[in-house]
Amino acid sequence: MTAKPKIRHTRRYRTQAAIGCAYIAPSFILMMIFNVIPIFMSLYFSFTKYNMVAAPEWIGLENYQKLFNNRVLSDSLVNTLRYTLMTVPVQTVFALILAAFIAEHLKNGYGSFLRSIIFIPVIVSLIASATVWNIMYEPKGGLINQVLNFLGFPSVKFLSLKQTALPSVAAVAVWKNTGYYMVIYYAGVMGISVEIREAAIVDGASPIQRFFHITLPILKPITYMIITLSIISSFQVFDLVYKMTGGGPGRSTYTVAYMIYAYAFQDKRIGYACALAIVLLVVILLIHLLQSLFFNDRDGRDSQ
Amino acid sequence: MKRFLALFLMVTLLASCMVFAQADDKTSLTVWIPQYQFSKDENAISDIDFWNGILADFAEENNVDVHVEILPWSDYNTTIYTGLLNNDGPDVVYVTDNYDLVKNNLLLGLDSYLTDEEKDNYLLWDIGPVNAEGEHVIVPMDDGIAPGYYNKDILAESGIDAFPETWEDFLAASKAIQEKTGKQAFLQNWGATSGTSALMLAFWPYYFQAGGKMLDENGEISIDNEAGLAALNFLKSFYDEGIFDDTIVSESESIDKFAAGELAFVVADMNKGNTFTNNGVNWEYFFSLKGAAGYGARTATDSFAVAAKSKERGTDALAVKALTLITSGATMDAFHEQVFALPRFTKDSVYTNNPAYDALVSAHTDAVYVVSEFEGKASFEDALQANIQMMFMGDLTPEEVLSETMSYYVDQIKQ
Repeated sequence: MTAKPKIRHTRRYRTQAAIGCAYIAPSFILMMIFNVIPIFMSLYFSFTKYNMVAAPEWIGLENYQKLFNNRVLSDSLVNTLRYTLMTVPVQTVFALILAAFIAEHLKNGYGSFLRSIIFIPVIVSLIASATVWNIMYEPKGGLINQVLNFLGFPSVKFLSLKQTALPSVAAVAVWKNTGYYMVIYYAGVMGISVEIREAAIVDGASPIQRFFHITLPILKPITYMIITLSIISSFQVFDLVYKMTGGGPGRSTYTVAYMIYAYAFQDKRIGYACALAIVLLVVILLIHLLQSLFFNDRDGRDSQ
Repeated sequence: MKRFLALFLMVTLLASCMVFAQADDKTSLTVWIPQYQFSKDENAISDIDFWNGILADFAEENNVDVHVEILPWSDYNTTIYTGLLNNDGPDVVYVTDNYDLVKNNLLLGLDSYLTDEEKDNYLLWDIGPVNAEGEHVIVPMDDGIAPGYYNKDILAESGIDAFPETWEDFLAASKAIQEKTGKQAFLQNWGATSGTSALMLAFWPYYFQAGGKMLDENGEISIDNEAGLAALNFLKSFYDEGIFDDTIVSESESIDKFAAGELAFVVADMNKGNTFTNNGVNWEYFFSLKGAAGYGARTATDSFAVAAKSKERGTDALAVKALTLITSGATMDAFHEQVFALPRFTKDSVYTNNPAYDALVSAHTDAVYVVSEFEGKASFEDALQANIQMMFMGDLTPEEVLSETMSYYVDQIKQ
């Protein structure tokens, strides 16, 4: 067994390394201050009683014990899961279909125009979007109900019925997010080698076969990333619910992030809200873990 | 050239810092007040112009920079709570829910700053909360009750001679109006899904009319009682009798409908009379309905206060001086005339409300209930509102609304 040779770095190497560190330092510091440190602070506060005025008082696991007896939390978790199931698959599939369609059939000015139109909701303020959709959803005189009435259907109280409130909020999220994920998919589709597609065409593959056997498998890493981002943002849904339904009617649109807001800022119970935030973090991590296992498992089977 | 440019930029930066440092020498006072001007009249004075006008002479006389900030009502309570924690937060502040602010000593004790004459001038001074040292910390103001309005023509058209004031008569009259005229009888924003105030404004008066008290003998919130049940059953009967309209999600919708002469009864703030008159509605006030315990209307006491932090900043005396100017009879008279009418809250105020409104309230002073402050009030009302909506949706019975709300409050809200 030979000893590992000692690596001597040249002065030039060390200088370059220092410059590299200097480049990433601002981002690193900002991420530490605004992302990493707050997570650990939240973890600490979750074991305390804290109201932003008096110093935090250590109470051990009391917040968590209380949280697991909180009936509203189970409702909120179910609502959040339902919202995630309503938004993530729909916006991912829409984004993929639109990206593939535009890349395949509209490689011209119309395609650019359509991409811009679909992307507009992404840049519109979320609160402004929610306000406009609230007006469109109005039972009396709202645009959507006017269309329904025109087609001979009765008006629907979209945001006042427990059956329709959450799907109505989810529909706004899909409208808002699809453009963003479509752009990511579009970049992926455009990155697919022309030779592969031409070879498939020469071999007589139909457009649908090309989509399922070439485009989709190649875009798998992008799909994984998009689903991960979508799940995280869906679990954090707050602003749409806050503006459109206030958690109602009843608690039919009450979500975990909305609960965190209410405990932290309405009640000034920072410790309890942080415990809830940590629970949300753990739930998201668990789902991410399951998702990774699913994708890795599929990868394994694909390679066999 | 580069060195010269760097030197120039550095000198400019230093000079700017010196200018800012000099500017900071002048005492600065910050006033936070929520928006009150809702008039769509283009000649109506804005909140910021009104308060800047009021405080201009004060600023000059005291050589102080006064910064007035008009805040939106949305999340107002949270905004001022966090503002009062900061060293650069407001000095003088308009306060809505004061429980947490008083409990956490975020407001300045005012007793030692005000003369007995000044305290005596405030009509509601004595009902204001005190801090740990026993000093009053707010200048309470009466928000006024939200009276009811009825359309006399619709009642006449339905063959109803007098306003049906008992719960039973009111329900019967509402059904008769809908049957005979096809018009909506009574609307309140039952379906409100945003903010707790809407449904709570509707709930508390019925609770008081049924004989309910918000706080028990220990000062704790308690609604799981006969009055609570009676109020909820009465609310539910609106739904069961087809009077309830859950598409109404804001106060303005019901007001617009009443102003258009399409609604028989509505509950709105005291200022809506002119709007209704201008729209040709033949209307009359009613104080409240009459439950088993008699009449009952709710009012709240918002207030003006000074931040405890102003003492650390050395602006406390000046801030109290600004507070006395803001709450003086002359200022509030102008405010009520030009911005938003509210009942007077100082003895030296000469402003009078609509005489009919004053007569209405003075005839029922013993039936005006002030909404109490208690721990976790916002979340309690949130939970109660959600549970009442679940009752309307058929998920909870009135009994379950009360027990669920109270057990949730004890287990999860109260600390």
